[in-house]
This record gives sequence, structure tokens and C-alpha cells, in this order.
Amino acid sequence: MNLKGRSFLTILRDVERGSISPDDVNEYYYRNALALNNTINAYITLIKPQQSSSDGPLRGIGIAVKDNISTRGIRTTCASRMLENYVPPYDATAVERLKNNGGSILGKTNMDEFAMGSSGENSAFGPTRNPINTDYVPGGSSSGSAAAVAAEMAPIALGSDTGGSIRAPASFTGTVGFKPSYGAVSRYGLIAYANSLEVIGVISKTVKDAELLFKMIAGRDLRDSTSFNVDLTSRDVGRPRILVLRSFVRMADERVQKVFYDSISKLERAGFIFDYLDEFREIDYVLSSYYTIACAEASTNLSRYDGIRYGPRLDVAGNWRSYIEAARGFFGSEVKARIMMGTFILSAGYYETYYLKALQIRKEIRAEFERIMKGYDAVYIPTMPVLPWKIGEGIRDPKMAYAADVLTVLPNLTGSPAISIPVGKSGEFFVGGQFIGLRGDDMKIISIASEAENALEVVRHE
Amino acid sequence: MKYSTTKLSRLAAIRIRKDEEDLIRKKLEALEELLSRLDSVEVPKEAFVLAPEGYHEREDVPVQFESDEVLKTFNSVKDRYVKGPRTL
Repeated sequence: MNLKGRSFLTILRDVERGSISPDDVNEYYYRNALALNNTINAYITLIKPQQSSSDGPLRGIGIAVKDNISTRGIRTTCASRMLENYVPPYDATAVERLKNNGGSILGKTNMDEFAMGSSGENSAFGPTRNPINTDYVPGGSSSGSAAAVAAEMAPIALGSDTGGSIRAPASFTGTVGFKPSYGAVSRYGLIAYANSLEVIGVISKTVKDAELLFKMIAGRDLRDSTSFNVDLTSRDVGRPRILVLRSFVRMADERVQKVFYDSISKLERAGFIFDYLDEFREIDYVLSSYYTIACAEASTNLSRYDGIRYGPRLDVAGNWRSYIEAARGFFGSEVKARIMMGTFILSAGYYETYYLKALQIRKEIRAEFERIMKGYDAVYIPTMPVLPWKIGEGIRDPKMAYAADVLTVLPNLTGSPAISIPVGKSGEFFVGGQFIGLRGDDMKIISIASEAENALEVVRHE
Repeated sequence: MKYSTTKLSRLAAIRIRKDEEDLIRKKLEALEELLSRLDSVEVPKEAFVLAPEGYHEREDVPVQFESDEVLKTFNSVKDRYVKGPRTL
């Protein structure tokens, strides 16, 4: 059986009709994953499929889950030596809801350690490789989830997005990456990095696939007080009115800009209406504000990894301090740097200098975004400012790696939904474009992206 | 940066290996450059908090973990995963 290029939705329809069995589907992706994982390194843990007996809409079909989302009885490492052998005793709400809909878990996917990174290079289990060209990064931090979907190692996957971690790898691998509104999907069971920014979302082959899974995992959860019931009714926006933020587009390299503007011409022919905004007042502070908040929250969240509450039990001579320092030495260098910076930001005298200012700017960015969105259905900008880089370059040049987040952090600061779809190609690689909406307008953004996907036809799926 | 890498690692209680010192210093410098853009911003009077979508009062009774259940789950799977970083 060959399911290459098949969307999750068409596979489910065929299973429904009885022309293929869920076990065949699981076997197909499991075999592909086994065959390709030594090259792509998309999975940290792969689960041998069991005989499927589910009546739910997902029919027991296996879904790849990022390794920072808790799965009962299945190792969840966050791609860190710190949690190398951690087995959660409970499921994240998103996983529980998938299981309630008849889904199963195909495996736990590789990622940047504790979701810190935008390339997939910062994993304790080795970098994930881009299926398009394995010398290049697939984007991160949900690198394994995107690579698995792109390389036919999974039909669909869950990821998490703190500053672009779903959309960046979707852009680099030619897949669809949907980051829901903050709170639209419960964070219960998502191992925390930066609570006020992160959300669980979907990486898939098509927008319709992402919509299907999103509807299953979305909704208020009593175990996450920031969650809410997002409107899940389908929206037809007719001829969508789209605002292009030129100041963001200018940050992308020329190849990306060319593909991006070509996509606008095609979308205009399909009935989209575009307007342009030259300046976004807070643009110079978007990245600074994001990294200040993310590092500060990381230093607090990751304080639990001390070898006592979580982390390795060690045999260390000396006092408690040397014990904790040794246990926290199990973090990788990226995580260490962000915790150290976060600790500095939150220390006496610097809290006001950096953290409070970053919060203030976040407030202004949100107000500015709501102001410019008046009269428009969505904002449209490229997903990544560059094409994928060679594995290792992001480690050698951290400035370049941090700057690559400049186009993706805006929706995380505002809590908006955003979806990245392939909008063209430059050489062998895809270029992603993202539609961003107001918080709660998830279905509107999905509807617009679906229309754009049909009009552009960059990747054809059955 | 006001503090050296060594001082920051003490502050955050993180041990740094000799071979990663340079890399972490480079990362800290890159982050510091981003932070320095905030220098021109005025310190606000009030902090901003992203409010949840409406106020939700918790209706359920918080779930307690049953330690026997947790241990049962762990013991049933522990041998599958403790043998090294890769399961494949």
C-alpha cells in the first residue's frame, strides 16, 4: 500500500468506506518511520502499532506527538538529557482528547531541547534533518513533527508554538503549521517553557487536515484556567481583505520576498483584496520583548529541574548547591544560556530595566495590532525571513538563529491565531507565508488559508 | 553584560563545562544585544498581563494523583525506556 501524498482527511474517508484498514495505515507510517529515522531523526521514541479497535472518528490511526507533550506511560523527554527517562503518569488534555476521538500515538517527535530554538539543531538526541535536503535544518522547535509529516513518517502531528515553533518548521519543510489562539487549546500536560506565549497546535499536509485535528483538541479545560471555548463554526469570508505589513516583509531576504510577492499576485487573481501598511510602530522591539519574556519565564519554569523534583538522581559529594548545580548541568547549552539570561533579567535592579519594559511593549504591540486589523480579515507576511540553513550554522551563529524568529513572534505576543502554508518555492526549498488574525478568529484564519492553499496549489495532495 | 558567564552560572545554579563556555558566552552576547534595544524604552508604571478570555471560576474538584496508580504506570513501562536515549 502506498499513501504517499495522501492527506489525512482522504485517508480517514477511505478508512470510513472500508477500502483501507486503520492497521494498514499505521503499518505504512510505522515502516516508513523505521526506515527513515536513522537519516531524518524525526522520532525520539517510536511506538510499535497495536491492533486498532477504535470506533472514534480517528479510527485508531497513529498521530505523531511532540516530545514536550505529556503522554501517559510513554517516555517524554523534551529532547533533553534532563528528562531522558521521564515517563508521565498522565496524558496532556490535547492527547486525551485525541484518544477520546479514537486516535493513538505513533511516536514522540524530536525537537529543540525544551522547545528552545528555531532550527531543530538543539536536541540532546541529535539534530533533526530536513527531508528535502538532509544537510539542512528542518526548522524548529517542532522539527521532528514537521519532518515526520513531510517525509511520510506520520499522517499528521501535534506540535507546540512559543515563538514560531510550529510555523517555522512548517515553512522549511513545505507543510502546514497552525498555531491556535492563546488559550484555544489547553496547555495542561504541555511541559512549560514560557507559559504566557505557548500553545499546542497542528502540523499537517493540508489546511483541512489541521482544521480537523484542531477542532478535536480545542476548547476550555478546567485544568488550564487560561483556556476558553473558541468559536469553532466554519466561516466563509467571501473575498478576504488582507493587510500586508511591509516593514516585516522587508526583513526577509530577496529570494523569500520575491516568492512572497508572487503569491500575492496569484491570490489577487483568485479574489483576495490586499492593502499595504509601510510601518508597524513597535517593530524594532518585537524580538527584544519576546526574548526578554521567554527567557524570564524559562528561568522560573525550569527551576524544577534540580535533581530532586525532576531530573537525574546523582551521587555528588558536597552540599546541596553543588548537587543542584551538577544536576542542572544536564541541560544543553541553549537552555543554559536562556535560563542564565532569564535569571539575570529577573534579578533585583534588572527586573524594571528589562522585564517590565518588555511587558509594556507587549501591551503596546497588542493594541497596535488590534488597531491595524480594523477593517481587515487577516495580516499576511512571510513565515521565515530566510531559507533553511545548513545544519551547524545556527549553533555557530546564535545571532542569526535568534534573528530568524523576527517574523513569527508577533502572534505569540498578541495571543493571535496564525497559520503557515507553502506559498511558493525558491530552488529546492519551500517558502512559507502566514496569515495572522485577531485572538479567537481561528476559524476565519483557517478558512482564508484554505482558500489561499487552493488558489496557490504549491503542493498537491490527493 | 554586568556579570561574567561564571557569575551568571553561579546565580542560576548551573554548572558549565569547559568545552561549552565559549558557546554559551556567544549566546549570551547575542541575547544581550537584543535586550539592549529596550534601553530607550521608558519604565512603565504598571505591569501588563495578558488577560484570559473571560473569568472562569473552577467548577471541579482538583484531581488528586493516586500514588499507587502512578507507580503502577511507571513500573509497567520503566524497563522499556531506561536503557539509553534511543528506543529505535
